[in-house]
Amino acid sequence: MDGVDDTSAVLQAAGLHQPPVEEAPSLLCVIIDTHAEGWHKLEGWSFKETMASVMVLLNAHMALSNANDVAVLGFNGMGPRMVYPQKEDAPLSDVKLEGTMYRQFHKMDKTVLAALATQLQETTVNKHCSISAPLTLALCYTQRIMRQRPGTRGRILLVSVTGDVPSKYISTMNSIFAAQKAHIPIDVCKLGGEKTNLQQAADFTGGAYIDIAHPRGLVQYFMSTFLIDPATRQMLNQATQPEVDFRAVCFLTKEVVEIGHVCSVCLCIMKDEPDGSCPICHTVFESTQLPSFT
Amino acid sequence: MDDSDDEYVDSYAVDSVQPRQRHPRRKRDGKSSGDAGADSQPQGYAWEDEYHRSWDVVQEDSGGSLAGVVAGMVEQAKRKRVLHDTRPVQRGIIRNIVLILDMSFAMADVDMRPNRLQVMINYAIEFVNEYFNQNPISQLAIVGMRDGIAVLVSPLDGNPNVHLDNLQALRKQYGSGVPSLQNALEMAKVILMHVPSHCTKEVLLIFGALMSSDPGDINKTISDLVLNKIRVRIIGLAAQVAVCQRLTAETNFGDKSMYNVVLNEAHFRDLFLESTTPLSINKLAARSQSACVEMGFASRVNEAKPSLCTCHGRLTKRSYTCPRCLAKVCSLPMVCPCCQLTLILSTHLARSYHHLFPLENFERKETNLEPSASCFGCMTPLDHAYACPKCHNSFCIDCDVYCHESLHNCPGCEAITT
Repeated sequence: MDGVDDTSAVLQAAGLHQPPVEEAPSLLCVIIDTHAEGWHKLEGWSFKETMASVMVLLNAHMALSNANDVAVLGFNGMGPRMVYPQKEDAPLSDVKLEGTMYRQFHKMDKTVLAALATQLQETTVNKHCSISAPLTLALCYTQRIMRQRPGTRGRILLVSVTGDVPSKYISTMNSIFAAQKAHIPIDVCKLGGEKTNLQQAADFTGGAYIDIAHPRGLVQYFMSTFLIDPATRQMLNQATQPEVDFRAVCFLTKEVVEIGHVCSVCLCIMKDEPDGSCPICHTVFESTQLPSFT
Repeated sequence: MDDSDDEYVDSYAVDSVQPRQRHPRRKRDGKSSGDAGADSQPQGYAWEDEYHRSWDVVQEDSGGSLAGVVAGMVEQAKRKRVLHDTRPVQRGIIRNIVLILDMSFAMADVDMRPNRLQVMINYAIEFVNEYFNQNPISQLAIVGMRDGIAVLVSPLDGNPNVHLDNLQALRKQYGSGVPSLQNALEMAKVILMHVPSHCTKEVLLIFGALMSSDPGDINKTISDLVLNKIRVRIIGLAAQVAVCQRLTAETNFGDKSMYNVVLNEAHFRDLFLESTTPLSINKLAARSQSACVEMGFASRVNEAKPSLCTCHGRLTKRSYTCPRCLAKVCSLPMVCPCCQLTLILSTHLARSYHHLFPLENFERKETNLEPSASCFGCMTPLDHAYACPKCHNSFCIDCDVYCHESLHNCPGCEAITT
């Protein structure tokens, strides 16, 4: 059949048919915690300094390949918001340059810094946004980009300074499982706040979890861990935390349990066997099973 | 020129088969159960219906273009998949399924390419993966029907890899002999005999033939299945068979929607994967199906030097320890080989939560949209909006599908802070 139509052979001979050697484009979604209260608690380290490091990471990611793209989300007590790209983006040509900076970098830097600074000013007392909200948004946006540009690989980096909202446990886990299904690794950069199920998020999706003890070296953490794409990370010796907290907590007493009782209807975990009915869903248990010899 | 092909496709588009499975608890024509009868409109035969041509549905718009209509149809097809039943019903989360695969002469037919058997194995592999993804604390067994007997392909186990290996081995075989429904069902009954009462007992049968060669009376097997509370779902590959209709209706409390015949390969896949969602529990049966189960939450250890695991005898570094007998196992979920305690992680339970708290279906907004309107999830400009009934934010069709199929979260509802 090649004899009938040998255009491909002709093109190959002329060196025109070679597919361009290019790495798969990658979309980096950075989620930044803008709870003012959380940043206030960080001693000796400011939001401004962190953002300087984040901007280095974003620019470096864009610089790695022409096809690479970034997205930035911020979340605080007012809810999650897309920071970059904006809904109504000014065209690139309208961006005024100072000096010889690359136009894309300049535009992104300006938009991101301005929007995040406004978010940090918002005073929201006693209101917290769960990480499930920005994760859900980031996943929807990543899916859109993956639909529009097939072959794109997505990943998410979360910069967190606050603890989590316990009532949102189910939706947080749902978004972690969705990320795992779509092969989107979630990297976590923990600057402050108590430990959360973010460790599990990183562990399940194959991302890195780093509890940063010395924020002065933040830019180095970013460049040596979070910038590297997940496929390359396997070949490098990376600083990670091997112990992941998988312990189950009793729904009633909030104690950590090792051997617990699970209601077969609502799957709630209990430390002691309840008598007769489930305290959460009020299902009456069947008692035909033989009593145990204990 | 009126060939039957056209009507066939059209009946799929017009949705004469789909709504039955989408309302699994809707009762139809309760001849055998006696408790139904709310919806007993007689359904005529397909050939008695008015003739629809697929090209009659497509109308040009004012500009003489078809693009808008075609886009609308694509959207409709996507939409069809996301409309799940979101009523909060009690579902049997801890499941035990026996998957019965027809491996008889009928599976050598080539109406699906390369043949029915290969297509079935492909989808079965996909089913096993998805089943254990959505039901991590459930178990599965696989049985084959060939040469008039039932053969055990894969024993009851909670580890997907065992089943996947066994299914891959099936690829080298050919369909041969006659199938026997009775033998396969009897084997399934025996496999499910020891399952505790808080777990569901289900059979998923892929039936390619139109006949069954049984050693005895199948009616007795059916009544045995009903007594054992085993629910049977059948996917037929050829045509409806009366005994299958009876079998599914009687074991599912008169619900006839559990028997479906495939229209094409895509439909086959949809039906197959639909069985990954846990069945809702009938109220009458609910009482005996709830229990408090003892489970161990294993802790993960990373060892410097590899040691042997109790489950497979392999050298591993990364493993889990049973909290009761301190035995080392290499993967979870698993029943501890030493003390028979069910070992899981709390996250395995979390994977099933979306069955218990399903995301509400989004409603299509009929009002005109502002020109600047964009999707709340991904910020694409909107042509048609789908709104969450709780938070009233608008979404595009792609986000709607993604949220319901994989994410199980509404971006708008999540954004409400507390």
